[in-house]
Amino acid sequence: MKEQEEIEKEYTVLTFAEYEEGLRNGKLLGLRCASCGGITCHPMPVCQWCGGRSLERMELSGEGELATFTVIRVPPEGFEDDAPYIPCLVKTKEGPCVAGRLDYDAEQATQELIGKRVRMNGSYTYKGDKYSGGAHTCPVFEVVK
Amino acid sequence: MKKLKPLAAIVGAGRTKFGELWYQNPEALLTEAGLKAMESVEYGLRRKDIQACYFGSFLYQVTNKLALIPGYMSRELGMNIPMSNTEAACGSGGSALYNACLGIRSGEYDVTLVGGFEKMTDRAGKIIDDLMFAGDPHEFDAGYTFAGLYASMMARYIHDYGDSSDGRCREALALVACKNHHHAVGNEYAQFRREFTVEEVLNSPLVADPIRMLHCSPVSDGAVALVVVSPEVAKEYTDTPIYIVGSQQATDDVSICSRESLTGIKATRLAMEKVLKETSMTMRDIHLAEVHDCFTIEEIFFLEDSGFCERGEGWKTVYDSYESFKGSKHIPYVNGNSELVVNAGGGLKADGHPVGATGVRQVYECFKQLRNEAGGNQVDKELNVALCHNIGGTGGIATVHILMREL
Ligand SMILES: [Zn+2]
Repeated sequence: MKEQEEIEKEYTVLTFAEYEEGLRNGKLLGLRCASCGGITCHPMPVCQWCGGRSLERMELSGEGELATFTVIRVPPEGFEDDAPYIPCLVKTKEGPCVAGRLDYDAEQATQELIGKRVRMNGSYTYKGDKYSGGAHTCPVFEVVK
Repeated sequence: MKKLKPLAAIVGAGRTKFGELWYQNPEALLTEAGLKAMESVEYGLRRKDIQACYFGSFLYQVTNKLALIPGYMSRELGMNIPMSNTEAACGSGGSALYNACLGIRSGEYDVTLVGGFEKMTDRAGKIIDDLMFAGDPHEFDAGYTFAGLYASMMARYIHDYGDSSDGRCREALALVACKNHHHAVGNEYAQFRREFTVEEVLNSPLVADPIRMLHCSPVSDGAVALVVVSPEVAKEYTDTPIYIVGSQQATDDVSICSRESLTGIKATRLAMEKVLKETSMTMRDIHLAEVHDCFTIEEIFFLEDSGFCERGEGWKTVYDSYESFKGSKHIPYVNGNSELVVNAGGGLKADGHPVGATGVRQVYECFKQLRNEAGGNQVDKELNVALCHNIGGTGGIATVHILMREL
């Protein structure tokens, strides 16, 4: 009988905990699909493009294009001190789109930012509260000058 | 149009008022709606006629600290029949009706009760992150709120399709709110029965740029129920059943992040394609649509996802139609030869959005309008075909139903 950890590795080549640890170390980790060559990020047990299961770890460049963003004025509990802040979606150079924070002055953020080149410059960790699933980390991006 | 074979029929409907109903618990709201639906049946309905119940709700385990709604309904309605609760976020009510239709289509049941409910206002500010259960935790961890997700889609829509030079696209996104509030004035059950001007919408506080408070549907309490039966027994209960001729559903990624488009809802498009095929209809055949306007951008997405407007053109139809028809009792959307009244009772925006109740409320509104029973809020034109469009989350699920009075 296989050890439990080994069975899980068969389905999860990159765990979410490892992905977040990567973010805290300045790396955007993902998975490359042997079937279609597509990149999956955040990690899942299957390829986000073709559903394939033959995946290997890789590191994304952290570069991409700002797909869209918003400025949060009415924050959820636990984010009050941050507001106003900018969650965003970044279409990475490698293909997948990831959610993160944009490191930018919220009062200067206008529609013209959409489509701008961005790159990962760190990470943000939400500590969690008694209602949530604990601490979690997301990538932070800056606009490339 | 060839004569359609109905798959189910609605013979009774009941609802509570929507709003802040602090004095009532959720199971009592659902019981009130259920009893009203049963008591509304023209030739009477005995409780023992009901063979199964299908409920829909999203958050009651969290917001009201209770679970197993079938057990409460068994007690309150005095029944021991099969019951289920469907959770599909804001699409819970539509999903419950979809499941009831499957129960009837399968031949297992002839008489069912369908109910949707939600009681949200007790949670005060905590409801902002409760609602993010309808998004992806990865989005929440980045600080997204539910409004923030729609704001990101709206920002991209304005960027891709808006006419930034004169601000008409932004105005159209406000006019959806003005229209739906206008429609709610005559709706005695609506949470907000008052008009708002376009200036009031555009000057309301920013929630998540570019979404302002008056682009958003409210936090609400309420319940709605329907008596849904097989077509074969419908005439035993009423001379004017409203037939369900199409019932379809589609799903997509819970997260907006990896969707193929940020400026439309794939699940809506797929469900609409299926239901129009099922009924051999086009959007031109539909007279009234109750559309999921959780944020005003979503109503414009529907116009485009359903094919009523071309991609990127929805806001122009909204703008031009409002200009042409403002002041009339119901302001229809007109595109070419097609004319469609959308959200006759005020939609989620003004009637209110007790999340799990919404999909059932849409059907309630169409049932009343098609039977010419909407009283002071009756649409002043011949209505025979109506459509209900209910989505969950930011488009992780979409359920659509087409209803007809005369087949
Ligand atoms: Zn693949």
